[in-house]
Amino acid sequence: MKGFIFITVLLLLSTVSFTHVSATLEGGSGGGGGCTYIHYEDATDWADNIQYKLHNNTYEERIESARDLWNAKSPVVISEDTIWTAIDLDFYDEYLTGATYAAYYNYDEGDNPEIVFNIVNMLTLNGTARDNVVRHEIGHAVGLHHHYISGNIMYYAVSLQVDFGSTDDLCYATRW
Amino acid sequence: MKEGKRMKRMLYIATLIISIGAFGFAISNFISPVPTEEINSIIEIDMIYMVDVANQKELIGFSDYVFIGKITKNVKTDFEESRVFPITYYNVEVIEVLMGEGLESNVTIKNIGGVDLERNLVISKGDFLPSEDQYYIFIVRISDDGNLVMDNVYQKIPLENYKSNATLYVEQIDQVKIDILNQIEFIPTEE
Repeated sequence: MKGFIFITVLLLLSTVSFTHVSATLEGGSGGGGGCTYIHYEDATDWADNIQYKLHNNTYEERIESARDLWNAKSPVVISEDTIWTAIDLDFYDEYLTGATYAAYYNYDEGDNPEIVFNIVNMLTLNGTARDNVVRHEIGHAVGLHHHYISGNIMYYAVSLQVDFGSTDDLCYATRW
Repeated sequence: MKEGKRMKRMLYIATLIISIGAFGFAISNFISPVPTEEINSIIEIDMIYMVDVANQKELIGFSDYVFIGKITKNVKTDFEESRVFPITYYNVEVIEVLMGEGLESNVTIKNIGGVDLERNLVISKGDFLPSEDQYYIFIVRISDDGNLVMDNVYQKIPLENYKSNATLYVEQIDQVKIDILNQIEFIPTEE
């Protein structure tokens, strides 16, 4: 009887431990009931801030506007890199005709994460849609995944959404 | 005394079960089908698309050509055109054009994504690289250099063994033809 109890407890402990490891690897759901569209491959530093560097970007003003929008949320503070800070995020432009994407976020373990805009496609968008793209990409940098729920900046295709939707708010709150 | 012996036996059995489990887990990892000698890791990148690419009518409305084709050769990979993505060039034999005019019988498709110099597969999220000798329905745009371009999973619909099983895909191809007729035209919103 004692042996049976011993084995059962052992198996239960193994199962609990395995489940915990799996949940940790998947990023979890943010504490139960929260948003699942979050990730930890963000661009934040040890203090949960992001210092970015521009590289002759076409849409510098839109990047600044998007930065201010995300900074209205707490705690992540996004600011331009100075000589006193280390770069956490780079912004680049590229020109690829025939592609279907407007921009992408690349998390690179060996280098800074980067946001790259496909200017060829960005040029076909109006200002509101361009702002949507820039705000969406910075959303990736602060740890949000995109999803298929329209009415949010993190919707996976270009839209005219430039203000946070309810899923954006929930996901940011879950992540931070 | 008897109880102590039983406990010991149970402990042996438990240890044996755990050891067998651990051994099985190790073996299953060891014989994993992932060709680790070919690809170090898969890097999937989050893109924001110009249209809802999962909606075939929208994707077609944003595209120049829809056709059934066979990948005949993986020609080369370019590492200069994109900051992050290797670009893989494929020769493709055009089998049947469903939309678009002036397509030659053999074309080149640029796939934004490929294997980089460190043997990492770099692709957009959810995407895959097409295989030689396989058939696909391609939904693609044309680039300034005259090549066709694809960068997401929805632009190549696999038609496995199409040559010998074409009848299996009649319905699927008919659906694409219907979506071509009902395509949602992309309207640029340039200021």
